[in-house]
Amino acid sequence: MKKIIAISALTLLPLSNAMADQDIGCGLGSQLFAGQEGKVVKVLGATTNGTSGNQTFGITFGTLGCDGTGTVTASTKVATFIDGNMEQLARDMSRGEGESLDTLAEVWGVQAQDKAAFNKLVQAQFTHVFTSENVTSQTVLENLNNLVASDSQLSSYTLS
Amino acid sequence: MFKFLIVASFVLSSSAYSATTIHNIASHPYWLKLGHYQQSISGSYESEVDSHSFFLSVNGKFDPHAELLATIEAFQNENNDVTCQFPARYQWLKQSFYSEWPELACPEIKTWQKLINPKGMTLVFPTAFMNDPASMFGHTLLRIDAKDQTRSRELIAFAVNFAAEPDATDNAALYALKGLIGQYPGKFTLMPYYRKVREYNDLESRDMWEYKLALSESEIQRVLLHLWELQWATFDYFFIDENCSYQLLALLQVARDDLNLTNNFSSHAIPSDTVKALAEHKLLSMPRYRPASGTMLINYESQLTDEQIDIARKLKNGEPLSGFSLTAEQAVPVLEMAYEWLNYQYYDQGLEREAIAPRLTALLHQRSKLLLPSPFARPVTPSISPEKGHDSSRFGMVFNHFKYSENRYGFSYRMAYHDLLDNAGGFIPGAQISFFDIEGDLDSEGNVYLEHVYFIDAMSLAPDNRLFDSWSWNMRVGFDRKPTDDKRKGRAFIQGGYGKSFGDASGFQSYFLASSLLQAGELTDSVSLGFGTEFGLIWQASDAQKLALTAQGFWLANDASTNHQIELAAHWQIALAQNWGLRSSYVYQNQQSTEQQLKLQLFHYF
Repeated sequence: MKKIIAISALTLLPLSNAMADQDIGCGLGSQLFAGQEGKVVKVLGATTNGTSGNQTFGITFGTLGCDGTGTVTASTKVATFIDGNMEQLARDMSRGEGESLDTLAEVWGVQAQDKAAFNKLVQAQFTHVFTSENVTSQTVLENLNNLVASDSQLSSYTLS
Repeated sequence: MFKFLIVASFVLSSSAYSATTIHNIASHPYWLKLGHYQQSISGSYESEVDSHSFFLSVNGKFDPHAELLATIEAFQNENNDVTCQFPARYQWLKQSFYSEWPELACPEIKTWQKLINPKGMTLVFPTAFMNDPASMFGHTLLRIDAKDQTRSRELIAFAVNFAAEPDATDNAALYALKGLIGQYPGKFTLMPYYRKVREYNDLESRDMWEYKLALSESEIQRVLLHLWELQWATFDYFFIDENCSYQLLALLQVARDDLNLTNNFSSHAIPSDTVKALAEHKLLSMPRYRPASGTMLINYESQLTDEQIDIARKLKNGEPLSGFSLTAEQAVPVLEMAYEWLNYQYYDQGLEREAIAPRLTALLHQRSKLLLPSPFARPVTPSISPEKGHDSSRFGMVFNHFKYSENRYGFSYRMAYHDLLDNAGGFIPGAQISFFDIEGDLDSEGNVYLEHVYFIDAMSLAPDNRLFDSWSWNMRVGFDRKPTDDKRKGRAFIQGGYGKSFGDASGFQSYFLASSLLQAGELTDSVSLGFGTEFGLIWQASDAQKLALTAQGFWLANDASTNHQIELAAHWQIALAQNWGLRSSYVYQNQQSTEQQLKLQLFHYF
């Protein structure tokens, strides 16, 4: 997966085009600090153990691509993980450590010997990844991928 | 009997079992588990599954025998659609009785099994959160641990969740009501574990306990094959029984032929009790602890000085870091604290995104410029995990000594769940919820008295501290007795209070509530209204000892016989063992007359 693509080609037409269509079903595009309805909903939810109503998981969750027919690619896995963990990733990346960041490196396929470099890179370049509070998970993924692509040690991990 | 059946299957080596044999298979415990059948007192069966698509026979919900016949017929006709819809039934029947059947051949299931790649299974129990005693009833879910799983891949493991599927168009009130009375169908779903961690740990701020289950790989495969079948199953979802915890037990018990986990849960399944049921079957190992966002925040707070908290508060409110002339080492802890604090408030209080999100982002941007690791130590794992807490029902032997009337002996029973004096280990400190707590007494002449019945007695004491401005409250509804000039007279009442609490709920805590009271009955002649206060000091002296001083005083607005009602009490409970406690109390009551009471109670939790 982590395959060598000419960096120029990548920065011109990065993931957005290649992945946008197939990932639409995953709801990619969640916002940082999306907020929630506050305590009443929380307490009711805890009382009845209901789900929040917008989840469409089934037993076979994960066997199909986000459009419901395709296969699950490595970049889809990275995309969905970022999408579901925006705030935890933002917090971990700002510190250069944390469980969610470790998991991201795993899902991304970063080998053990490169993890420290990965963590260092995302912390140092944090403001270029989470550029503002209005950044979407799609943009975060693209920003990260661009960073990885232009880093000499990590460029082999660039997602296509 | 079953040895005989297996031998018989070799001898016959054909599909033509006798009617008696089929009858025996139909009443085999494992077949009944696969169909989620429960036997009523009259001997008839009914499945807890409510959807028709889970049954092959028209009368399958009520007739395990007819369902077995329909199943065998479909399998023997090599109807692959049906086989792949019910792979657990197929495997079990093939292994136990029909060895001549071909191997299961279902490409979709193969793909699915390969994706999940299971090696182990973990039971996950998110505990209650402060200020919502109802969440004490908690939730349980399963995590499937993959073969290539490491600590850092845990978040992307699959979680098996059982929950009601609400109608998204219903409003909050309707949602709560329909959820409680079972109007939403319950279903099993699979999702990434991080969804549940985000939901419980981060948004609802509930600590999570993760217990690795002692199941072999082949046992886990059995569970998963049955989970596959449950795609076609919906359950009427009831809040108290047939809830998530009950259904997880019903799923897990297909792991082994002789495992029966649901037997003891005919009326209600409280999650912590189901955790204990698994512990009793020796299925749990030492749990791992995943602290909630609120726990993390309090842990951060405990490691900072007043001055640091003050800076963090200012940063949280939007003041720039440059105004404080701090070194990098000094800036890191206050920036991290400010972020966690503001983020917690943002979700907890549902603050405006437009105001808060830019501030949160700015805090992270500033933190990322400081290339130092986080200085905070992780929260300490509580010494007593939830499965080591007392059981949820309580039986008591009571001795009452009254100064101005004769002694009484009695028994008490509480259906659920935990009060502030009960053995504290394994429970959220400062939260109490009792359902149906009743005491009946006998005097020396053999007269029987109903001493009290509390339908609900809930209290939430969330202490104020350097971070939170929290409110505490209580509510009690029921019947009890108060002293009068000639005898102890009964009253039905409802009482509630709202106020503040200070200190440490697992150490020394005080509370002060403004309360009101409505009561009626023999005691008051007519309905009387009271206003007053409740005050208390609670001290958890050790893991095994709790002491409390409590006081309540009411001014009665329209009582013909008296204008006040006062009660002072001192309590001391010793935990003798996990499920045994001894409580001694001294109670002073002043109503129409004065009474002093010594009360000794021996409790057994079960």
